Amino acid sequence: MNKETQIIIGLKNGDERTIHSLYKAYKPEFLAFASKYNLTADDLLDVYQDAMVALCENAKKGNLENLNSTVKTYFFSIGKYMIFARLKKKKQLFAMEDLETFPFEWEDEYEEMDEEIVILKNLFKNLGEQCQQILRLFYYEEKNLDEITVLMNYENKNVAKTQKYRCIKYLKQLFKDRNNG
Amino acid sequence: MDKNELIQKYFEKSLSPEEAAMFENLLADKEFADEVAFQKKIKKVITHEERATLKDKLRTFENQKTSTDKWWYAAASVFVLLGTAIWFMGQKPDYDTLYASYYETYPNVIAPVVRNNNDTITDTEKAFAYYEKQDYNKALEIFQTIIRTSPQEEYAQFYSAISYMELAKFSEASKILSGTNWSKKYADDAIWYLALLELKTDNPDASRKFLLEASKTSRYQKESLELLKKLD
Repeated sequence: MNKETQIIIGLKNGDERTIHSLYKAYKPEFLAFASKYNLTADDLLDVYQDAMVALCENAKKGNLENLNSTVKTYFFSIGKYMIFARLKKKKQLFAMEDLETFPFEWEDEYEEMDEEIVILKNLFKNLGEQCQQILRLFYYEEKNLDEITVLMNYENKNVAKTQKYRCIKYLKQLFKDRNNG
Repeated sequence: MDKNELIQKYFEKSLSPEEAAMFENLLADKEFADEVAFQKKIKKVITHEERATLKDKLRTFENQKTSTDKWWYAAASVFVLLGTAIWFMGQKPDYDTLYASYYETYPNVIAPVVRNNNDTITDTEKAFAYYEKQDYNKALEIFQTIIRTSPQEEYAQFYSAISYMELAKFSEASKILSGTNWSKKYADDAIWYLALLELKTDNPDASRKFLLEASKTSRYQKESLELLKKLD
């Protein structure tokens, strides 16, 4: 197994050592590259961490599997995007120009939390481990039911489907009770 | 196709154009729209939770060095690095290559995968069948079940660690290898694999420490001495 594949697998599995070693490895170059933009040191570090989170997230979703660049190049593309997004948020940049397209997903709407979401988050944390896991795989890692069946060792796809359905239904019931009570 | 399946496919991003049109039309139905909206909320909640957890982890990477004297450390380490770099120019061993040439999957010596037809398959046999098929994810799951029900089964711990190594989950492997009180049966192996693991994750100093230990009496004595020499 070559080093790139090893990194991708490590990220995909959420291996802390892999993440830590990349975090250390890319940081100086990223900060040097990012220093030409008008952001504070705190902001830069925050953007760097967001980019690293996005890298891990995309690895989990399988977006790094067919990469035609190195992981490092991919990471720096994300970083660049993140810098521009931050500048835009601070109204220092109006157009997101000059960004090549690359297979990278990051939906910013997830950053905002309203009260409803906070409540739902607490309810989710109180679900059983099995439910948390299946929902996490499906909605966050974007695994399809076939993959989930294998990963969670279910008898077959229908069992996985039923299990997921039950978990959603249960969570919805809790949410309803909470809102009415 | 029932509505739940449409929603599922929507989240799997696997709707066909026809199904996508159907999905769009159904959104006019309040019950359907509410269901989609609720599941989107679940997605949002989990995404938020996962991102926050990971970001907290990254922040701890920052706090691992103290900020006082940071500049001094930085300056000093530049000199040390520079010095070492010049000193070792061209002769720094490549850890990955060394790892690859010394690492071997630990053989299955527990449950030979041959059995009589009428036997029921035990969990142990199942785990090792997957292990031998190199399906380490599945093997791991069963090893973990075995550990939960009979924590005294040392082999389940050991083979879990090896499975983690095969899956490049080095932190998990390290946790088990260094955190278990191994009997004589696995003690040598644990040290040897720890040495390789540290090498793989670019910690030659830690690796050397384990190799030194293994070079004393272990059954990996010969390899350890060899590897130590190559690391120097």
